[in-house]
Amino acid sequence: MTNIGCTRPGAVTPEAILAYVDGDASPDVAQHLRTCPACASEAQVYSRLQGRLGGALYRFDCPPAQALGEYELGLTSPEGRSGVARHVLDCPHCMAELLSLRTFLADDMALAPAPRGGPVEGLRRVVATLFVPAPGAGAAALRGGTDGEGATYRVEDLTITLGPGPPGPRGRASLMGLIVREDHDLEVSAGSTAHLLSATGEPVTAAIDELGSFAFDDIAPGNYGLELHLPGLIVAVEDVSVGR
Amino acid sequence: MASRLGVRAGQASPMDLSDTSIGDLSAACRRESEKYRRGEPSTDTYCFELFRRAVYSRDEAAWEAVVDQYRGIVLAWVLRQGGAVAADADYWVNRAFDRFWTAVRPERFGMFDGLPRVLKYLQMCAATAVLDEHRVQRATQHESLDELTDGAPQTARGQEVDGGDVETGALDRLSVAELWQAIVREVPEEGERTVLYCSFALGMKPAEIHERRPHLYPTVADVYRVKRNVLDRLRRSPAIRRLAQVVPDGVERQGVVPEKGG
Ligand SMILES: [Zn+2]
Ligand SMILES: [Zn+2]
Repeated sequence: MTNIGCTRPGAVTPEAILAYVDGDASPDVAQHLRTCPACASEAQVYSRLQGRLGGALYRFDCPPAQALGEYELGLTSPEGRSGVARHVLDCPHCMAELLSLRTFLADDMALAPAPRGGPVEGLRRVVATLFVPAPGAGAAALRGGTDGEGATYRVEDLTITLGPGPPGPRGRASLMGLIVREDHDLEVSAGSTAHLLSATGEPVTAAIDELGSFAFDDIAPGNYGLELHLPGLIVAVEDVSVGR
Repeated sequence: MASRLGVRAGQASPMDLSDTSIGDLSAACRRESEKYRRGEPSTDTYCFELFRRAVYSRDEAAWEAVVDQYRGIVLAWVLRQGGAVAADADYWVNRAFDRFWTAVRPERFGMFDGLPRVLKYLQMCAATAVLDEHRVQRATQHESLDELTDGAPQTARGQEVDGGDVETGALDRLSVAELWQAIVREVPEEGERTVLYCSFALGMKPAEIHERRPHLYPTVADVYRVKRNVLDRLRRSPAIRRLAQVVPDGVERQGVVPEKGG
């Protein structure tokens, strides 16, 4: 593509002009655009087009904040839940909003009486965070036989270790996990399940056995969210990378 | 759970509150809330009934009693958000209650199995009212970027570029869906559409798109190549131009000549 009227034809590519509009250009591209009206005009066209598209489309399919709130409070239908989960995994804005809501809603101070704890009973939802062991610490023993690429997450007295299982056919992957409770045995009821939530497909469910282990076979490599449904508790693990 | 309050003695059951006046419910709710706050045994029944009358029966007097009873707690939630929100606390308290009232239609009241869930929902409303306001502010900022982005040069101001359509930037929701459908038709290839979606719906820069989807775009240059290609296609599409009112004819003819051959 040639920019008609360019003072130095071939000096900058259309991609470089676009990079300039995105604030990404090298100094010599910026220098050329300062002195070449034709390329500057081209930059303005990209700028306006991008401004229009951004203005019209910015967050156009984000669930309303209220929907994120209802998701966080467990008031969303199962179908709705996977839709919201999928979007949130993809959308950094909704992810940030959801996390801020989670922090805000976890705070029961205004409601709580002195001795009795928070007013919300029943199912609690907590988020496990990545645990990076100190060098030489015994955490490697928790890796449950994975090949060292595993990751360990912690929340309260639970440790969740995730690692790759055997590779599947045609580039498919698998994920194995183990939940360990620090002081006493993990309570796992017959209905305890692990759910892998993807940005592109239906959620996949696996049973958690009485030893706290679970496995997902034959899944597409990618980034997932993981939810562990334990008695009285949902543990969320965000941004689990599988087969990468 | 059993009430020890003698509200309306002579009722069939102490928990049947259907004949209890709003005034009595409100007084009982206040008393029980005080006990709860002191850590004494208490019952949620009266407060919950007050909410039920307000939301399920759309009883204005009950709603006023609810607002009166819980204004202090909602204020504490608003203040905890700090900054500009706390500085305008009364406004945000009202917004939280409005939002609760609007979001919980009578047919949805059944999602609450008791007072704690109702109050949690109210707490959530105190946060989402603010989140939605932030979204509106961000969207407005985006529209005002129409004129200039990141110091792009101002050129040829006289040339009808700034037609009268600048103020129409805010498309309504229907047109936005229509615009996206037109884009989908124009850009059927998923890798290309993903760049558009990430760039404009998610507001990501090319480097961020590459970081998040390295398997689709191994380098930032790949993102730029796809993005440039797609933008050039969109600016030539009559449907997109009409919907997004993007670029007046004159500019494009003057600016570039499409590449010939491969
Ligand atoms: Zn030039
Ligand atoms: Zn979003």
